[in-house]
Amino acid sequence: MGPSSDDPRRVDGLIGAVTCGPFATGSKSERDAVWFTTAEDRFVLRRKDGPAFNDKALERYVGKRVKCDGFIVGYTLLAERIEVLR
Amino acid sequence: MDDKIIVTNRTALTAKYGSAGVSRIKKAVDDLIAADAKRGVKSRLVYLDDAAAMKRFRGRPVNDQTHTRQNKEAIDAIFRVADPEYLMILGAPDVVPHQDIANPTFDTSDDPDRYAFGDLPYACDAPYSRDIATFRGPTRVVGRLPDLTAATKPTHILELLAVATRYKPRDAAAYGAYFGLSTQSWRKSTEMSLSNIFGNDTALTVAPPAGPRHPAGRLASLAHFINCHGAQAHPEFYGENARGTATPISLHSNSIAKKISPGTVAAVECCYGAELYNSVTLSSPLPICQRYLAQGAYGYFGSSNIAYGPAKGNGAADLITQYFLLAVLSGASLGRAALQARQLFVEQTSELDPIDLKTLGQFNLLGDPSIHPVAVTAATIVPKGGDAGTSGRLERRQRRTKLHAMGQMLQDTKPTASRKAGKVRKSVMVRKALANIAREAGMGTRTEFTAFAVKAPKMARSRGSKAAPAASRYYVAVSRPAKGSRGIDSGGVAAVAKEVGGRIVGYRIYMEKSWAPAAMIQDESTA
Repeated sequence: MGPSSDDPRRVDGLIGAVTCGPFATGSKSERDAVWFTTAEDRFVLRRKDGPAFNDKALERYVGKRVKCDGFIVGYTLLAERIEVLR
Repeated sequence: MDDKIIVTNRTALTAKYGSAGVSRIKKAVDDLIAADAKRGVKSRLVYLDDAAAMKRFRGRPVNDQTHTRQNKEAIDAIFRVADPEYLMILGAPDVVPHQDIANPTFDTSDDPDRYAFGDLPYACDAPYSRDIATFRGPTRVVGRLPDLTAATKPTHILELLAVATRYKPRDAAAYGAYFGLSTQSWRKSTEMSLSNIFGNDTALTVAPPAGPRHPAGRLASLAHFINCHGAQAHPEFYGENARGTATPISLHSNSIAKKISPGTVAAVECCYGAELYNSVTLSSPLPICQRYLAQGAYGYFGSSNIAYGPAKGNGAADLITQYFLLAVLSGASLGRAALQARQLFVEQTSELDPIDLKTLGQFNLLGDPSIHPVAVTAATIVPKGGDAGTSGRLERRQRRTKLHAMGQMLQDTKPTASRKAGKVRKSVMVRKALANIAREAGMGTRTEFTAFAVKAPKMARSRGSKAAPAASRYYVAVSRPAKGSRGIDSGGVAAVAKEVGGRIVGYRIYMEKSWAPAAMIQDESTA
């Protein structure tokens, strides 16, 4: 796979904190995004089959620690399952 | 001598489709080569991983299909020996990779694209590099006919090859009716672009309220121009209302199925509008660009990642996409249109600042570069008994010579700002001007600007002439204004300021589209 492809990488049980913050400031895709931060990395969190912009379903995870299954593509985590950790 | 060389990687294709699949692709390429011959274009297929084939070009075969340097060097070898008038890359980036040019505006939050992936370096004589400024002088006509990333059946690429084989040019009038799609927030900018290209903006569709479904009659237009939001690995574009408070879907890959006319040519400004992401592993709908091509679109010019442009004026992505469509409408082949768009984009700037450089690197042509969507009547008439093929080839060669000279001139003379400067001591005057720009942009006067050194090629340096002095530095800040500044709630801004001889002489502000005024270029008296 060429490096340009940002080939999807399967992840299971990835744990991180969910926050809300600016993304791509000044660009054609600028918005407030939902971020998923692990000990090593930071990703834009999206539901795999959800909208890329203003996904209301993600709001309930903001401020919480969660466990995700899904795919990492570039700087985006496309979540198939999100579980809130107590 | 070959007019058009089609490059691909047999090992990569075999890994995806097996030997039987590769045989079917080879047969489809042979059909294309035969059709090209009838159109006066002598074409040849070259496997970049074939040692014997590469030996003929005094080049080394690619033995790792993901290796960007190997692929660039192999293609450079082909150009050195054969100098084809068209280069068609056959396959997605998992067959022949995009080049991994570093993104000068990379920032983990504000511009998280580490690379401005693209095919620009293949269109340049300069040797392999990750410094985008190396590729400021494109000279070659290049396009990519992509298969589906990670596909296991060759159906998609066979369809695309069949489209290229049976294509027919049309009168320019056929491309006069267009489908224009814009967010509400970028309406002014899109109206300006459409007027520049088509002479009117009357057919503009604005989202919201339009989208994601559009009347079949609208989408059937042969020229498409789209200025919406997009996202990484995603089959949707998004609109935005004027206040920036809602971003509904404006176009979905599934909503355009069976509605795109064969022969369509699209110029798409959206972020990730031409990203060839892996929809197979993700089990997601086709990328929008691939949906266009699968329905017989001749060409699609778009960005591999995050793109920039102002809300109401024209700049960056607006310009390069306009230049592409204008060249297509005037009768250029798709590949020449892409080359002319890149050259004109470089030419119209005094220096290529970091955002200009990313724009140049990220826009790519998807489609057979030798397709001429628009037929124009040649001014020169071939005498009776004359060979129209030879005459056409001569004219094409003359055009290539001119384009090569233009690319070389840009390479020799265009200053660039792709590298962050070391520690820069800003004069009081510069600090004051930057603070004023930051205040005007609503960023807060303590905003940190990153300095980029301007590198001018030797031939760009004036020797006692009255040439305009080149910038000594660019300053770039990307920030989010404080809530309530400028009377609005949230919104971000990217400011680019130009320094000449210790003074800020101009600046541009790219703002969030919902509330921004046009990108401004102003002199220091207002800074």
